[in-house]
Formats: sequence, structure tokens, C-alpha cells
Amino acid sequence: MKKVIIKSKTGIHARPASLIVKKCSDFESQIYLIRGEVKADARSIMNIMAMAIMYDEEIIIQAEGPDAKLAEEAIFLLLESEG
Amino acid sequence: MITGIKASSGVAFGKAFLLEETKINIIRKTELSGAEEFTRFIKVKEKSINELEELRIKTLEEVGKDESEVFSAHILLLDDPVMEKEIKEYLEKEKVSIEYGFDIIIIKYIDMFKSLDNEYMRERALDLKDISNRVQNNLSGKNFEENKLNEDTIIVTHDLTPSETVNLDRKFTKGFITEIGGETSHSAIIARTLNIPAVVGVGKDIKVIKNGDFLILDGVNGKIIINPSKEEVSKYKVLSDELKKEVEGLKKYLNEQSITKDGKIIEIAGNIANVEDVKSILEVNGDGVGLFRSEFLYMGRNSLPTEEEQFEVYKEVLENMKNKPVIIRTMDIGGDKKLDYLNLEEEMNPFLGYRAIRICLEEDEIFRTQLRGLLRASIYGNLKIMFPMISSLEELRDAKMILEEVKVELREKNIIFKENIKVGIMIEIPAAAIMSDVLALEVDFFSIGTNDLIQYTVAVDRMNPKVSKLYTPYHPAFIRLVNQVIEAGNKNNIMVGMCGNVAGTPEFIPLLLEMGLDEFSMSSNMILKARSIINDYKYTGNLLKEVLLCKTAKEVEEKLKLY
Repeated sequence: MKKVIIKSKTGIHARPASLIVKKCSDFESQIYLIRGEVKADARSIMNIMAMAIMYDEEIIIQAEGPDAKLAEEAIFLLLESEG
Repeated sequence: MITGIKASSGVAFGKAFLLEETKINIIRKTELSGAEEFTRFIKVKEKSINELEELRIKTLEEVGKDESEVFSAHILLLDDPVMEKEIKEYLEKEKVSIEYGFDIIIIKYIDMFKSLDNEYMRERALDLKDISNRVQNNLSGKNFEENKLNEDTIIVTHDLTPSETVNLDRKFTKGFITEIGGETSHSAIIARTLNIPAVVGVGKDIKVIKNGDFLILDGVNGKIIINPSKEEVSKYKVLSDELKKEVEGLKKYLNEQSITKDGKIIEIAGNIANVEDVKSILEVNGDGVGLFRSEFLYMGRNSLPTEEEQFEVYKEVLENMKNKPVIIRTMDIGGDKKLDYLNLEEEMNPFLGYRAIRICLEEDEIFRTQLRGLLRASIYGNLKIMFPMISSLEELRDAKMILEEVKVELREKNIIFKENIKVGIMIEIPAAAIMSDVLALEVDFFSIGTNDLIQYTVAVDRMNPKVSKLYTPYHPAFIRLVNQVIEAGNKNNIMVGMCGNVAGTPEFIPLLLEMGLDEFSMSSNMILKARSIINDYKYTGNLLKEVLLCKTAKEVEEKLKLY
């Protein structure tokens, strides 16, 4: 589990969401983005966009599976650099 | 005649074609095989993805990379594994046709996006609608791209989806009109890129237009004339020919330097209110930003923008302008721009009241926050800071002192910023114009704000229709004041610019060049026109001499228009 604060002014809109989806395909694990009660499958651009993650919000990245640690780290780095 | 928002300039003539929202009758068939229906979906999904990929490439080649990314997003949305799983489960459970099942699921997502408290995401609902239309058309075996036109046509519709916009028949589509949307909506941007005139956001009036009506679409003024008279048509034909010639002629100035025939380099900059506007300056290769109206960051929200939010915006503007000069004016709230959350008192004369730098010097925390954001962003480009509504040297000194204090504070915190940021003032109050020789000693540049300078000089509220005809940029008093300010600046070797409508008014440009103006800042769509005038200009000094002898506004106007 990893926490990240979104630093992109526009939040996670279509472009970063599609980058997350693409990144997920490198891994076998189930990967989720969690904000409060809401949990989205990180392979689903629909679910990510429907979360409407905004600037300055804290997101938890959670993966379950053989490469969970690596997956969490990769998505974390992506969000850090992108958003 | 009906009116809307000008989205893309030009004049178009054509028959109205009402593009109805795609309505497909979806019948709920039951007792079908879930597996078979799901296979139908997978086939149609693959076909649709192939079409989208073709559209993406077509858009990339014909329009541009940013616009083409819409279709990359469409592919990902349609290929979403979670949605696919939901569809599969729904079909297995309900045993309904895929047409019905897909509709149920996609509408769920459309509603979800529509309910979001975020303008950007709500607009994405239109993308899903677009995808849904494509899938349903492909399921029904209909060709999504069919809208065969055979004569000059103006498309009339609620809103254009990205696919529709790109698929417009280029040969016969002469323009389009939409009920909703604004200057920055997707369809408006594409219209400008493709050079098709468009008027958007017409509202309910659009219903007046019937299929087959002959239309004149006036993208210059945002007007639509339905079944015009012969006279109107010929009038607009003349205008349209002139516009075409002019646009063609101006293209050659795109990559030219802004320089007079005597070799004086002039800066032709654009006025902006947000990050988006930078794009239109870059499109015409403008020489900088002459006025960033930062108060727009403070408007349309419930609280003051934080230092961080401001920093991000300034940084993005500076980076996008790639070291070209960017003048950011500190916030000019008050006057006609109110902020509910500041709880400013109602005033009898807001234009003569608590406004701009007067608020900043009184409630200096607001000012300091903005200055910190500006200073931190300064390392990303060529920032110049400008104070508005300066009426005296004391105010200028106070504002500069606060700026210095903020610099000290940042240095103590080891936060980096550029040390030699140029600081200037707006000259928009007659008192400042009269004292410009004194003020010039303590600033790096002036920018003459003509709209306010005129209204304060002639004491006319330009919003009041009873007196607004007295508001004129040709008033000899205004001309003399401007000349005085430019002279004072030139004598002290500081840059003198002008923002406001006069800078972008063609007949004023030669006069201002004779006065010695260094920088012109205007709405981006005037930049090429201004460059064409400037690059054709050679100094004589005669025009200025003659204009300064004029006694009335009418004389000034005639002299300038004759030149």
C-alpha cells in the first residue's frame, strides 16, 4: 500500500488516467486506487475517471498479487511525476 | 437573425442541415443466449476500435496531436475491462440483446460522469455518448460515417461530438452552429484549426432554423441570418471575399519578425486571462504576453486562490511562452469585477473606489500571497510584474516595498526566484499619465491601459448607454496624454507598451509608432494584422504633428482613417 498526493492542478483527467491503465498492463497483480470509501480498479479508465480525483487529494495505491510491491511502486512513481 | 458565441471567424453560406442526435430504437429482446450476444459485442468492439484508430491517425495528420488524443481515450474507454465484465455478466443474467444490455451499462457510466462536480468530467459524458452511438450503429450494421452531403451545407446541431466534428464532409461543410458549448469547447477548437466558421452556444433560438433554410453564418460577429434577402447575401459576399483575401495575405507575417521599415523592433504581444489563451498567441507567433489579467484566477470560485494554485498557473504560462516576455498584472478586483467572498462593501462609484492596488495595499496578505506565487514562478521564463491603478508615486513605492519584503522572506527560506524581474505599472489614471516623467524614474516599464484611461479622462461611464457615445479614443485630450506618457518613457529609456483596445485598432498603430511606443498588446486575433501594419511602416513624424493639431475627436478620427 502506498499513499500519494495528487499535485497536478487538473487532477487525474483522461490523459493521466490512460497512462495508469497502460502501466497496469505491465503487471499481473490486481491494482486499485482508493480514496476514502471509493475503490477503483486501476485497469479501468472509466472507474478512474469516475472518481474525479482532484488536485491535492490523497490517493492510496493498493495491489494484490505476485508483483504487488513493484506495481505499487510503478503507479506511485507515475502519479508523482504526472500528477 | 439569431446570435451566439463566435467560435471561429469567417463567413459561410449554405443550406441548413439539422444533425439530429442519433436515436436508435433499442428493443428489449429476451431469452437470447448471453454467450452469443457477448460474442457480437466483442466483434463490434473490435470493429469500432479499428475505426477509432483510423480516425485518430486521420486527425493526427489533418488536425493535430492534441485533438487526435481524444480518440486514443475513446479506444481505452471502449476497451475498458471492468465495463466489459459488467456487460458479460448482465447478458448472462438477463438474456437480453447486446443492444439493450450495452445501452443499460453505458448509460450508467454517462450518468455517473454527468453527476460529477467537475466541469471537465461532465464534458466527458459527451465522449461516452459518442462511443455509444458508434457501437449501436455498428451493431445495427449502419455506417456511422454516413451523412452524405451534395451541396454547400451548414451543420446545425445540439453539440458536435468529436467524431462528428472530424467526420464533417470537408468539401460541403461550410460551417456549423451548435446550441451549447463555448469558445473553448472541443468543437470550437477544431473549427478554428480547420478554418471553418462556427457559432456556438446559440441556445434555444437554434430551434428557429429548419432543414433546408438558406443560412449566412457570420463567424466574425457571431450572427446567423436565416433565409436572407438578396441585398444581405451580396453584402456578405463582399465581406467574405475581403476576409478571405485578408487572411491569406496575413499568413506571410506568421514567421516574420515584428520590425518597422526603419529597423525598430516592436513587440506585438497578446492579452490573456488564463493558461488556455496562451495557445492562441502561439498560433500566430506573438512576441509575448503584454497583459495577463490575473484577477480571473480569483473569479468564479468561493475563496482566494492559494499561493500554490497561482504558482502553478504562472509557471505554466511562463513555460509555454518559452522565454518570451510575460507581463502579469497583479489582481485588478473591484470596479466591475466583484468577488463575493471578499465581502467588499457596495460602493456608489466602484470605478472610483476600492479597487486593484488599493485593495492590495490595504489587505496586503492577499497581495503577498500573489507576489510569492509570482516570484517562485519567475525562474520558469521571462516574467515582468505590473501594478494596476497606480495614481501616485507613494502607491508605487508602497507596492515595491512589499515586493522587496516578500523577496527577503523567500531568500530567508532559501526559495529561489529571479533577482532582476522587471517591475512596471499600468498608466490608466490621468494623474499617473500627467506624472509619468516622475514615475518613469522608479519603474522598468509602463503599459498604457486605454479603456480606463479614456473613461477617467473624459469622465464617461462606458457602460451607461446615455453617455457612452462621449467615450471615444479619438478625443484629442486622450491623444495628448498618451503622447506625453510615451515621451516620458522614451526619455528615461524605459519600455512603453499599451494594452487595451486602442493598441489593437489598426488606424491607431502608425500614430502610436510615431509617438515611439515599443510594445502593443492586444487580443491574439489582431496580432498578424498589427504585424502587417508595423512591418510596412516607415517613420515620417508627419502624422503625429498633424494629429496633435486636431481640435476635435472628429478631426482626429478623419486624420487617422485617411492615413
